Amino acid sequence: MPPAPAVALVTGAGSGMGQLAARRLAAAGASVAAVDVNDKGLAATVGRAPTMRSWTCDVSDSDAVERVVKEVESALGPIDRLVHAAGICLPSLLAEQPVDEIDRTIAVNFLGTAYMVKAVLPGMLDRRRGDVVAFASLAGWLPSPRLGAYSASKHAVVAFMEVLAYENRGSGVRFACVCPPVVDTPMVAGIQARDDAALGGQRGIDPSVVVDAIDTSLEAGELFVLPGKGTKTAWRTRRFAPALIWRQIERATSRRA
Amino acid sequence: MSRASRYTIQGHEVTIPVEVRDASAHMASFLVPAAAAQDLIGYSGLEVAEPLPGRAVCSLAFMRYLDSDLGPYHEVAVAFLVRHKGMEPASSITKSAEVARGFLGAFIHQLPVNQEFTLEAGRGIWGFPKFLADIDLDLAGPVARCELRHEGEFVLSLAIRPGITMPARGSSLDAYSHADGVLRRTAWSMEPAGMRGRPTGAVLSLGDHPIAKELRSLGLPGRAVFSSSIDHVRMQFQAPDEL
Repeated sequence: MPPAPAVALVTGAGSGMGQLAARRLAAAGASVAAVDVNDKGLAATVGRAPTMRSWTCDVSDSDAVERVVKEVESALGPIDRLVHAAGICLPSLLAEQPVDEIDRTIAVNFLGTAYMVKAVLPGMLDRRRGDVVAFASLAGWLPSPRLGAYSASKHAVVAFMEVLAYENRGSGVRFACVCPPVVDTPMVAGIQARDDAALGGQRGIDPSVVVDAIDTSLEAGELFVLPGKGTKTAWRTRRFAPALIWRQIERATSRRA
Repeated sequence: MSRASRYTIQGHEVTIPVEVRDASAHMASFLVPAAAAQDLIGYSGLEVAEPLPGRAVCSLAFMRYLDSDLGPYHEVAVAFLVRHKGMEPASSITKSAEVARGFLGAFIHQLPVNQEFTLEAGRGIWGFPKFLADIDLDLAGPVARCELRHEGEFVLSLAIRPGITMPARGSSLDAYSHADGVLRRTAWSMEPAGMRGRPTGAVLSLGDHPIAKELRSLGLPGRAVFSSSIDHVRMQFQAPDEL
């Protein structure tokens, strides 16, 4: 049985998949640093959990990220696992989307990943162990109408994680880039409330399926985590028959638009 | 006896009913000799239920609590199906009929957990036999696995194979616990989602720890009669009645 990490830092821990990942690690006995911009969500995550502590932090602020990682390591000890789940999605047609929304999406989703990984990685490389888990999305492989900025930011995360894993192969540090399809979380509820056509009426998969798949992939040494029925097929189709995937995306989203 | 509606645990207020909003559970049930089971739980003053003449039911469960009033934690339970406190002595036929009608309670004999808050709440509120242990769970693959260690010593491991989807119905039952000479009864309700079950389907290994020895006295490890899993369960615990 794989040992649970002793110290974990989880971003986006105030809701959705970050919250679930933080709770699972805490249930297993890990000391968990729960990080989010959302104080209220964080309070719900760490309540009654003596092994969890919360830090409020905007991951798109590189100074704040460095400060929090230092504080966490001095309070809890060296970080064995980063689960970087913080992310935002602001669906819109690109022609209509204000540039500041595109800035914000790239800042939180891509730069947030880069800052967080850069802050925890040196210690892990020194210790020659640790797990870096970053959430991309299936949208990091399949561009989708109304999710242009989000897809672009997640494509960047996919590329970043692939290069990172390649550059640090044999380092003792394990990497996982999580690429789930639509998952039943508050983020997806938010997307649906703002633009119902963006997801083509898809119902999300159970978040616990996604978190299970992370553990399985880390153990198996697979970089890309593709949880849920049909996700791997969609991923392969995009790589080998991109036109086919666009026909399917069009069919799914035009029904709703 | 009046029941409290709130308790203070480690400086936090815990209100009744105590709620579990998300947990997963895996369970295996074994038919064991009723006389041996009765010897083991005789201290409680309860009588084991007998679905078949001379046979009692011992269940082993492992749970992962994620969103609950008692925090996130892992738990292992050793429980027995029991006749309700105060029921008249009955023939084996009557006792089998009681099991068939589902008119029974669950006596919680051992309840190791891996976190302090739930330890203190469980003992303080309900007199549940909680103690601290290391509980490793691997629930990611098709076979769910649990390994229990106490003070560094291996106690048991239990693996549950996936069953077939079963209708998930809400249910309620009485949980009995016994601590410091007091027997308590707690109303416990649950709403499962994503329930699977199958005959047999469990592999149990036992160490040399006293709890493992207790289970050996029941003829375990043997073949489970039934095993089941619940992906997500919501539960409510009321305040206990002291009996």
